[in-house]
Amino acid sequence: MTTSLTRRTFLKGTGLAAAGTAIAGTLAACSPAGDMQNLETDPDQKKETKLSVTGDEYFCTCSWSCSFCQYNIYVRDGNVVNMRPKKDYPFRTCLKGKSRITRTYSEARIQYPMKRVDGTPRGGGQWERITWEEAGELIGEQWKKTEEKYGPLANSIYMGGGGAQGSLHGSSGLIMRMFNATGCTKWDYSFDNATNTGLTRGGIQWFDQNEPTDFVNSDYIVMFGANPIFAQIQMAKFLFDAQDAGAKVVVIDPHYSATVAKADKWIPVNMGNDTALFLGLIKRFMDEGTYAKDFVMNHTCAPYLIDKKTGMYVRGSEFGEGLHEGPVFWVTGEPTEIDPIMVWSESEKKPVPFDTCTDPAWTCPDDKYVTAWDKFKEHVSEWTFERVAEVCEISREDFDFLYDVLQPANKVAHYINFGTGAYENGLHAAYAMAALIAMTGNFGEPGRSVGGFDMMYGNFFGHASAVPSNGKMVSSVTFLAAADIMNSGKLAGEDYPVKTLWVSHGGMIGGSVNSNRVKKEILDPMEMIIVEDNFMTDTARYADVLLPACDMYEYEDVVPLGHMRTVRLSEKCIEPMYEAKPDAEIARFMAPYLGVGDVVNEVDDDTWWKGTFDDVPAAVECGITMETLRQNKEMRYSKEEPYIGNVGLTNFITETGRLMFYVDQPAPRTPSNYDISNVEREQMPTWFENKISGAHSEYADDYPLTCMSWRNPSRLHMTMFMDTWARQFNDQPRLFINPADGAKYGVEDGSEILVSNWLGECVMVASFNSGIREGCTVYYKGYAENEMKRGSMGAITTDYADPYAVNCSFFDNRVKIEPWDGTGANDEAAFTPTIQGAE
Amino acid sequence: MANKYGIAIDYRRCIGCGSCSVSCKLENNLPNDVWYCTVNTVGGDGKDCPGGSYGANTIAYQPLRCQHCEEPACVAVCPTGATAKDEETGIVTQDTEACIGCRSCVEACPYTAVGAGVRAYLEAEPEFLVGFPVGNSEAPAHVKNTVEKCNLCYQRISEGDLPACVEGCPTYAMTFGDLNDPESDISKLIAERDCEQLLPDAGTGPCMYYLK
Repeated sequence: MTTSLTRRTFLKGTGLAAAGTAIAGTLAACSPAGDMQNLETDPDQKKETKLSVTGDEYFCTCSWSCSFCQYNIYVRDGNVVNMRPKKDYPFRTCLKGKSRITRTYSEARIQYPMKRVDGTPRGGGQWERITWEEAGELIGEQWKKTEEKYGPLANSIYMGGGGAQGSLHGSSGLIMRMFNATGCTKWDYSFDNATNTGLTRGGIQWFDQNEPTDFVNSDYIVMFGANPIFAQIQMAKFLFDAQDAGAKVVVIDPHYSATVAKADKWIPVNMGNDTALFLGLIKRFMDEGTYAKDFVMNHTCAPYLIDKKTGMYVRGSEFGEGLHEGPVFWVTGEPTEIDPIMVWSESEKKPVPFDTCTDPAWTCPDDKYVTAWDKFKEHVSEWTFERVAEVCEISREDFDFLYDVLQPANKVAHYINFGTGAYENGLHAAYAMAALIAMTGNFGEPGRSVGGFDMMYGNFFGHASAVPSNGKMVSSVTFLAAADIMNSGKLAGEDYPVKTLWVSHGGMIGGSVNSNRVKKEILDPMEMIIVEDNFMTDTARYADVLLPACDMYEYEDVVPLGHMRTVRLSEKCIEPMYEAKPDAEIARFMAPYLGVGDVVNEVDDDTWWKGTFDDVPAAVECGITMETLRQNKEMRYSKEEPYIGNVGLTNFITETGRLMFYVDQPAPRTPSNYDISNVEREQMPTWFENKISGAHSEYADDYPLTCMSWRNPSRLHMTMFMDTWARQFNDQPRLFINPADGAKYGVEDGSEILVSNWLGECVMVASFNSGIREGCTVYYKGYAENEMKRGSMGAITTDYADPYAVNCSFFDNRVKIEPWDGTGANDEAAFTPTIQGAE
Repeated sequence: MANKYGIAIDYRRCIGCGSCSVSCKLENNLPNDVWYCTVNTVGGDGKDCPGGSYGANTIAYQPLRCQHCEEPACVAVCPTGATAKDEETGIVTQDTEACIGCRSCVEACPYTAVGAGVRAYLEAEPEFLVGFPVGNSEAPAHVKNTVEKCNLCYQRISEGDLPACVEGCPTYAMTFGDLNDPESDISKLIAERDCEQLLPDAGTGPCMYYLK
C-alpha cells in the first residue's frame, strides 16, 4: 500500500466508468470480432502489456457448456497468475473462469499415468505410477486381445462434456479419429437429447436462433425449461439489456428460479406437464382463429393429406407423380429428392402435390383422407383450459396471459433449454412446443426467434479429420442400454460382448444417471477400464489405468461453440504440467499401441485445422483459417450482426421444409433395446404422465417428493469438486425444500438429511426455500462423491427412459427425506489416493 | 475538488453469482478464508433462498464490501493511523505495515454486522490455494496479525482501470466513478434511480449506493 499511495496523481478518474461499459456490437461483416485496435498482431510485441498486472498476455477460451468465453490470461515465471476480461468484449469472465487457476494447480490433477495396484479393489485409491510406455503396452495388449477374441465392438468408449470442448483436443477431436479407426463401440451418453429430438421432429433447428444481441428487439422473451441466470450467466447481461429496451421476460417454471427472480412475469406450473400446457394453448389458437393463417397453411403440414386407413401421408407416387426436388439438406447443402406429400386442391377437387398446389384445402371432402390440420385439431380437442389446469395446475389468469403474449403480432424470442427435456415425456413437450410455435410463426425476423442451446452453432465447424482413412467408424450404442447389454451380452437379440471401456473426460459416475447400477452392471464386469482425464473424478477413481490429460492453458485449440457466431482461439500459455499430454497428443501416443498409429499420425495439427475450416463455407467466406484466427483471436462466421435465424423461413429441417405436427413415420432418436411399438403416440405431440414424477406415479406413496436439479454459478458438470474459490460459494450439496415439506417430513433448515429412493441415497443439507413448489425438491447439480458425506447424487437418478427420446430423465425422479443420524458415512480415505512411486 | 470514488450496485442486475468476490480474490491474491467482497442474499434465511410465500417470492443480492465512508468510524478509532481516509480519492485505506491487529476498526465499523467480508483479521500466517502469488503484483501484501479489507483496488484505479469487482461483473451490475463529478455515470445513475445506502442512520456517509 505504501508504494501505491505515491500514485495519487494518476487518479483523475476521467473515462474510468466508460471503459467498463463499452460493448462490442458494431462490427463490420466478417471483420475480426472484438476491438482489434487493442490487440497486437506482431507476436514479438505481444508480451508488452499496458495492464497493471505484470506477465505475458494470452487469449484463452473456456470450452465449458456455459458460455465459452474468451478472455486474457497472464503468465509470470511459467505460471498462470491472472485472468481478465478482454477489453471491449461483452463476456466478462465469471467466478468459474476466474477460479480455473485454482483448478489447474489443484491437488486433484492426475499427474502421471497410473495403474490400480494389483489385488486392490476398483475405487480403493491404491495406485502405482507407471510410464506412458507401460500404459501404452497395458492398454494396447488388452485392446488387441479383446478385438481378436470378441471383435472390435467389444472395445468401447464413453465421452461426456466434462473435458474441453475445443476442436482438436475435445471429445470430437483427434482422439475420435483414433477411436473411429479401431471401429469400437461408442456409448452415446444420451443426455440433453429429448428437447432437440422433439423440436427436430417438428422441424425446428433449435440452434438457428437469433444472436443474444437481438433480444433487445423482442417484445417478449419466453423461457421454456431454461434457467440461464444461473446456468449461462453471461446471458444475463443480454436479458437485462433487453428489459432496459422494453422487452418483458416471461418464465414458465415450477419454482422461483434465479431466472424467475429477474423475470417480469412468472408462470408457475407443476413439474413435467408442459406438453399439456402447449396443447391447450394450441387449441385456444385454433378455437379463436388467432393462429397465423398464412404461415400455418404455407409453412406447416396443415394441408397435407393423411390416408385414414394407414395413418400414412398420401404421396405423389400413388398418383403416378415422379420425384420432386425437395429442400436443400442443411447438413450437406445439397438439394434433396422427395416423393411429394399430397394436398387437396379446392379447384381440381383431387389430391395434388403440396409444392405445386395453389389452393390447398384446410379440410378434405374426400372421406378417404383427412388433412393434418383436421387430425391435429381433433387430437388437441380434449385440451380445454379446465383439462390443462387439472394437469398443469396453471391459473386461468396465467394461461390467458401466456396466450396473449404468444399472439403472432408480438415479437417473441423463445428461449428453450434442457429442463423440459429432462423428463420421460420431454420429447413430446418439445414436439408440442414446436407445434405451438407453428401456430404463431415467430421466426426469421429481428426480435422473433426460436432456439435453445445456441452454442451448437459452432458444430458447423467440421471435424473432418476425425474420419479416419481406413474406412472404419465407431458404432454408437446408447449408454442407457449398456447395463442390459453387459448383463445379457446381447443387443437386439444379437451377441454383443463388451470387455474394455475407455472413458475420455466422461462423468459416467455421477455425471450420468443411476451411478450404483453403472458401477455394478457396467463397470464391474469390464476387464479393463481406462480413464483419461485432467482430474481424479469419481469415474477416474474407478479406473484400472489412468492417463493424465492437460488442462486448457497447456495447449492451443479452437473453440467454435458459443452464444455468438464466432470462433475463438485458445492459446497455449504454459507447458503441459507434470506428465500430462493434450488429448490429441494422447491419441498420437496411444494409437500405435492400438494398432492404428499410421491412421492417426498422418494428421498433424495443420492438417487438422485445414479440415476444421476449409470445408465450411461460412469459414471460407469470412476468411477464417488457423493463420488468420491466430492473428485475430476471435472471428465472426456470419455476415449479419446480430445474426437472425431462419430468415425467409427456409430452415425447417423436414423432408418438405415445413414444420410438422403430424409425422407419419416417427423414428426414435437412436436405436435402443426399448419397445418402440407405440408409433401412434409419437405421430403427434401427446401428453402422458411421467412414470416417476407424475402425480399418480406408482412411486408416489413411498417417495412423496419429486426431485430435480438446478445449476449454480459455481459449477459445471462434475469437474469442480476440488477446492476452488468458486466452490467456496456453494461448497455443500444442498437440497432445496419448501418449508412446509420440511416440517411435514421432520427435517430442519440447514441440517444434514438423508435423501433416498429405490435406486440409492445421499446426504445433502436441507435448505428451506419458499420458492420451491410444495411436494417438490431441487438440488444443485454437480457434486462429486468426495463432497458427499454419504452416498452420492448420481445414485438417486433413474436410468429409466422414453423409448423414442432415449434420454436420461434426470428430473423424472422422486425421493423421500429424513434427518440423517450420521451413520453409513462414506470412507473418506478412498478419496485420498495413495500412489506408489509418486514423487 | 478532490475525487470521491464510489460504486453503484444495481439490485436489478445483480444475480448473486459471486464473480465480483472471486475477481477481487484473484486480483488481490487473497489468502484462504479472506474475502474483501461478499454477497448477501436478501430474502429468505439461506443463500439463494427467496423471502415471501410461493408465488409471491422476492429475492435480492447485496454485494458487500468496505463502504468507503465519508465519515469512517474505523478511522476515528484506529490507534496507529493504519486506517486512513485518503483525501484525494475518498478511499478508506488500510496500511498493513502500520496495523497492529487490535481490531478496533472491526468493532467500530457498523457494516461488520451487515455481513461477513467487510474486513478480515489474519490470525495466522496466510495460506493460499496455489503455491505462488497470483493476481496483481502491485496488490498489498498479507501480513499475520493485521486487519485487511477492500482498498477499492487502488493499484488498479491508479492505472486507469476499474476495480476488479466492477470489471469482473458479468451482468454489468456495478458502476464505478467519482461521486463529486455530477457528469460521471455513477452520479447520473444515483440522481436518476431510486437508490439506498446501507445503514444511513449510522452517519458514516457510505460511498456504496444500491440501485433499486
